[in-house]
Amino acid sequence: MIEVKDLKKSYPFGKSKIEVLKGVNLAVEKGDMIAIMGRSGSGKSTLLNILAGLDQPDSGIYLYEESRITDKRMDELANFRKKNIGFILQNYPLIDSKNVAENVGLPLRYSKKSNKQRETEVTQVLDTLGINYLKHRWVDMLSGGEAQRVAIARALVQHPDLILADEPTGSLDEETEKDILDLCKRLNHQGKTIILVTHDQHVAAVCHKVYYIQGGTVVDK
Amino acid sequence: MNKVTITKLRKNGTVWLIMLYSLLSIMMVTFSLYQINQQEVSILSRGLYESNPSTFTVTDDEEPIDWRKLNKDDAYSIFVEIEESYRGFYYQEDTYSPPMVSGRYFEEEDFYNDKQRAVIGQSVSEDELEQIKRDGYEVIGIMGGSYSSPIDEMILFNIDAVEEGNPIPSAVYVLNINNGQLSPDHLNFNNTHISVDSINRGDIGAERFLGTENYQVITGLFFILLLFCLSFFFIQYWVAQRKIEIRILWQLGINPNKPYKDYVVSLFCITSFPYYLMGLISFFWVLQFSSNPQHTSMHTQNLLIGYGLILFSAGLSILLSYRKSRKYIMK
Amino acid sequence: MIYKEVKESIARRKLFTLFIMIGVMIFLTTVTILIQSYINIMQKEALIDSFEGLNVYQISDTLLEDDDFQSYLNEPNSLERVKSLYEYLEDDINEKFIYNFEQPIEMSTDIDDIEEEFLQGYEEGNPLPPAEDEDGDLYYSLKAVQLNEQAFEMFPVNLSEGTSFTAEDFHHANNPGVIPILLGADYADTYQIGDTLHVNYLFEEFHLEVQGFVESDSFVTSPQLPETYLDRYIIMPAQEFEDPSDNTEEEFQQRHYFQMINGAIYSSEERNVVEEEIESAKAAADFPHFELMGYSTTVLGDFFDAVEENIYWVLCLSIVLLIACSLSISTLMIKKIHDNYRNMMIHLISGGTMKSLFQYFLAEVFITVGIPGAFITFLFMTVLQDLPPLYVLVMAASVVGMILLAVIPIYIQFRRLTISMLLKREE
Repeated sequence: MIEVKDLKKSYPFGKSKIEVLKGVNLAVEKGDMIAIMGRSGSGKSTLLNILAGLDQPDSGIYLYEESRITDKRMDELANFRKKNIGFILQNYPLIDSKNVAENVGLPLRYSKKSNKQRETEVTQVLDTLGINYLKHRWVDMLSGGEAQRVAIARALVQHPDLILADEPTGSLDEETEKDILDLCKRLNHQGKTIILVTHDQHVAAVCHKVYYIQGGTVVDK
Repeated sequence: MNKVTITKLRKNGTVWLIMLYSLLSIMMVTFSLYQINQQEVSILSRGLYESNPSTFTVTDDEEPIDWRKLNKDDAYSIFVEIEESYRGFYYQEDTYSPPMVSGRYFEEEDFYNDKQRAVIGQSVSEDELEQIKRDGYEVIGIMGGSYSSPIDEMILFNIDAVEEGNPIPSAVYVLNINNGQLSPDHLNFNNTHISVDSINRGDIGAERFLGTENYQVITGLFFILLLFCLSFFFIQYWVAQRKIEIRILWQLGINPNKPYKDYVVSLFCITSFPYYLMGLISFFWVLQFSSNPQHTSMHTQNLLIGYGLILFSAGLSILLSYRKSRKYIMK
Repeated sequence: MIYKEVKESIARRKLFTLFIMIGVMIFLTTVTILIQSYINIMQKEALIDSFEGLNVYQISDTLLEDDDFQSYLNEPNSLERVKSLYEYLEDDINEKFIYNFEQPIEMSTDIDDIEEEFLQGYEEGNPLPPAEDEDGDLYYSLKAVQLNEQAFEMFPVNLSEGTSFTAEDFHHANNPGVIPILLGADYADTYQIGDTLHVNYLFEEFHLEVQGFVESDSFVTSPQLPETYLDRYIIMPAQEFEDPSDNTEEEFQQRHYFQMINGAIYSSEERNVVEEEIESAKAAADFPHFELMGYSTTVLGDFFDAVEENIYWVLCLSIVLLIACSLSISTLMIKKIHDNYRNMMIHLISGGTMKSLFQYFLAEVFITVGIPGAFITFLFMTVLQDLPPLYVLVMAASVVGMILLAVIPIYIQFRRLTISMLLKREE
């Protein structure tokens, strides 16, 4: 499903550059659930951003379903992201001025679906995550775990094939973390490919494969 | 509108923005009224003359003049000073109408139609009024404002009735033209031209003494700048609050074009609604309470200009925000 | 510590702080212009203040027929009695006697190209052409106005250059043959102070000595001509003369004094009171051929009404702008501070208190609104040096108003906020 060859990425730092990715090679099959681990600043999030099409590498190839993503323009990448990717971030950004249903339904606002269809899809995804009771609540009234679930629901509402999660349980308690990981496993069983970035061994343990970013490259742990 | 909707509008900044634009609308309405009334004081204190009219005497007073045939692309009004407060008058296309106590001001049908029409000031004596009627004139209106001015003593006649075809020898003519001035030595008519001697009278009236016109111009310029800047800033603020939404949507694969299109529509409604409301209220207020029927059209014109300015500044602001966010996203 | 926090907060949202500061500056500049406009109107009104509430009563001699006039002149002491009447009107009457008369002056000059605007009749479209005497000298008929001492003091005639008329200038004996004059502003390019004009006034030759120029747009008023702007005029003092030495001089003085008694009484009294005063004057001077004409109007009514209208609308606009802009700018300020709430929790967990947080916000509001306010006030006080202390007061009130409108709602919110609410997850 995903093939990454010799991906390199650096960031400018004053007059010089910091090389974050120095030739990453990675292959992910459809239905895989993999973890990418590494120390802080090792490039995990950078790799995830490139896989999501949020950033472009300096060099290398990224193929998704044999389509060359690295050649796409930013607008095309946005489209690719909309159709294929569900992105879950650590700090689960939600929009304060909208309630849960509106936050979850945000991506559907720009689809061609009718209001009724959108409402149905939102309700379905909230049901799947067991948080339908939160539908009309303001997001600033949610607990951390509830907010993360809402962010996950938003990531799933467009039925992506690939879910990318950057430290999805980073700021959660153990019990909530378990709930989120169970959810991820369930989604994987439903056929979704999941790539988790984490520094937590417990999170990595639930995945089929664990990769480690070290020295700017990925090694199979 | 239920409590949830109001809370949502408050949280997303819409309520703030409506309030701010309501304040801007009130400012615009007040400024329009200020400008209209200052303009009226200015023109009434000059006895209906513009601040810089063309003043002249006609040297070829043997040649008949039909003022309808004056070659002017713009609207104009012409007065001829017969005696102290007696004047002949004609206008083409458009003219300033003074406030009327009763009746009406001149209309195009009153000229060159074998009619004898007069408009008198509100302080003209009964004796003079009787004399005018005895001379065969029909008094169609009485002019005067809520404050005293030179027009209170004035008597205007349709120019064709007083000239009877030929210009009045040695009389002073005063021509108000919307744009531009007269050539110093002749007037062009359709197939000919008439020689004139220009007179430079300088400014007249209370406004010359008070010298407020320069202040009015500068006040106007700064007011426009203030309106523009405040509108621009409000929109910058409102859009900045949506930065996170735009970022999230981008992460979800939605191009910023799409939410920005929604914002443009929302902002159009938010800026327009309070403006229409204040505009309508003020329009009906002017219609009801102003003694000058021309005030409603002048006020409407000002409101439209203000609306255009607000929309332009808001549009420019959102365009700049859009470009900034695209640049930020593309980085 | 406060300064550092405020500096950081401002730096965090530089652009919006700049927006607010620019908004404050433009707003206060507009207020300054309106204040200047108001001051200008009030200053102009002060120039004509003395006319407020006065009616003008035209007075005139009744010797309108030439026969009657000649018959009077043949009476004994006819000139002395007219002079006596004038002196009574000028010095003893209990009302203001204003003599303001437009009398063209015939000036002989070797300048062969006098500007038409100065000629009598120019504004009426009939500038009088120069007349030629037997010697071939050209005499131009120039616009001139004579003012008695009370008129000169009362009308808004201020000098831009030179020396004004003194009491001595209204008595011809002090400098026989020479009459001091002031010139209207438009004459500044043609003559200088000290220049002498050779003129014929009422068929008598005089030298007019230029001793000053009046300010542009100075004007005088009379019942016949409600506004006469003096820019193109020669301004002469209405002089009193000593006893004539010969018949020629006597005839001149007869013409001169009979002109001078035809002035106007400016009074707030009713007509009957003024009539009594006139009767006293007639009795005192033994000059019965004199009366109050059936004519009274409010002096400069149009001007005062124009002043009132101008002031009204300037104040209206000022008040609306003050309120609307203050509210707008304060709202922006409040929103900016709301955006900072999320940082407040960091302060709170680091040992800060709600009180200290409020102090940071207060300081930020002060700086964001106060600095541009102070800058604009100082700038205009430097550039426009004639601004009164009222200006500083109004500007300070505007700035304080904006600060209070921003701070009070925040203060109320702070009182209601609990720390736990602030520590809750913020986006």
